[in-house]
Amino acid sequence: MLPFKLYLITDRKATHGKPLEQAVEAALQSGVKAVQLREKDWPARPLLNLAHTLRKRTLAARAKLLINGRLDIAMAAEADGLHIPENGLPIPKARRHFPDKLFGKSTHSLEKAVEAEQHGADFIVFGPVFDTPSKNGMMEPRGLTHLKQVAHAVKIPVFALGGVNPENTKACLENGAYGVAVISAVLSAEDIPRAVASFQQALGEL
Amino acid sequence: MTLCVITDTAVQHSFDHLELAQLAIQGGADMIQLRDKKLSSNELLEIACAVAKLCQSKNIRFIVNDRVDIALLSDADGVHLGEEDLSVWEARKILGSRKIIGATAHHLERAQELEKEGADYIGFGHIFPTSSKEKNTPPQGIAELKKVCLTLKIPIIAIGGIGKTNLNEVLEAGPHGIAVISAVCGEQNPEKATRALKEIIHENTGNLNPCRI
Repeated sequence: MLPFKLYLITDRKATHGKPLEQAVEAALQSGVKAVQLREKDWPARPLLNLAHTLRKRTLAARAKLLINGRLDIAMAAEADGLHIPENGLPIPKARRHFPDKLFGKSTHSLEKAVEAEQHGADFIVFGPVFDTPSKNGMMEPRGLTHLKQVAHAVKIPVFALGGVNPENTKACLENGAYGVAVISAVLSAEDIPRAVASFQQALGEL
Repeated sequence: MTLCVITDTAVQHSFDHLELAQLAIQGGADMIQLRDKKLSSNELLEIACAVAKLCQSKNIRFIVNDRVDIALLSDADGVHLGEEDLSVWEARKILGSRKIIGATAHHLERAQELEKEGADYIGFGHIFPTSSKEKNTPPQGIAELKKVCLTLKIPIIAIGGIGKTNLNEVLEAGPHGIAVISAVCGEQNPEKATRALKEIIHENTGNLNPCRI
């Protein structure tokens, strides 16, 4: 069983000018148990520096840290896992060099979700489920029906991503999601502890 | 004297990475470095695996720029680290002692630091003004290159704006190799361009064997 249902994905541009470390720290102190470091436009050096900082904070909060995309950063930061985007590294190859770690996979379709499970992903992030102002804004929302199809087609946990808020979280769970993945719903919140608490309540984690 | 060709698909659109590597090897390149900051990890890994296979079959060194993980998964000979990349010891921890780790230095002190950290070679430059990459530092010039070559024990590969017209000047400074991008990848016939550089190296140094990296 995955020890988290709320999966926080970073985006330093979503914090309204607040340092990302601060926003993540607030979320961790409010009980977030899994963070994915995802700053795609950053070179390796600043990314790894931030990964080291988040590693300390997540260890202190007994939370998981996953790194998006780069296996080398995940290994160097001694993260708990690697989160692989749709065009990312093949999981079996990466796992050979990073054993006993969590491998998450982002997918936007049923076929890719099934493939991810076959390749040994520990969980899937599926989306965008709803309309979203953040990164998946370019993509058509997949909707709850599609989420349900994916959740029923695979045995591994599925996290709903994209426009998820505390109000529609319940609908995601009813349609087979194990949990939800969020970016701006937490990082852009004026009151991060309250935003986290609302999600936890909706997820039955409180 | 090592001739390293860095494949670049931004300065031209006629050839992909694998084609450039193939042509450069046919022209006499001793080392291929794959650099692409735009491709997805999966695409980059597929290309790296193909170039690695080609280089292994021709006994040519193959180095991946920046991405230690791609170097690891493609079983490349090593990685080349820029200033915004992982440190030498971080890369060493991932790749182990048998892989090559090269690193870029823009001045002598940095080159010495990198040698201490355990780099196997230094990419020193840029020697001349160059259009291949945006640079924040001024060109280092021949005199600085000479100083670095005399001071360090590990091989120095000169890089940055090197081509047919200034190659002799660079070779006089005593590097163990040179690396080029535009001088090969920006030419209509990359194979011929590589061969021309190789011939200048031969005439100047009488040495066609790659240095020990």
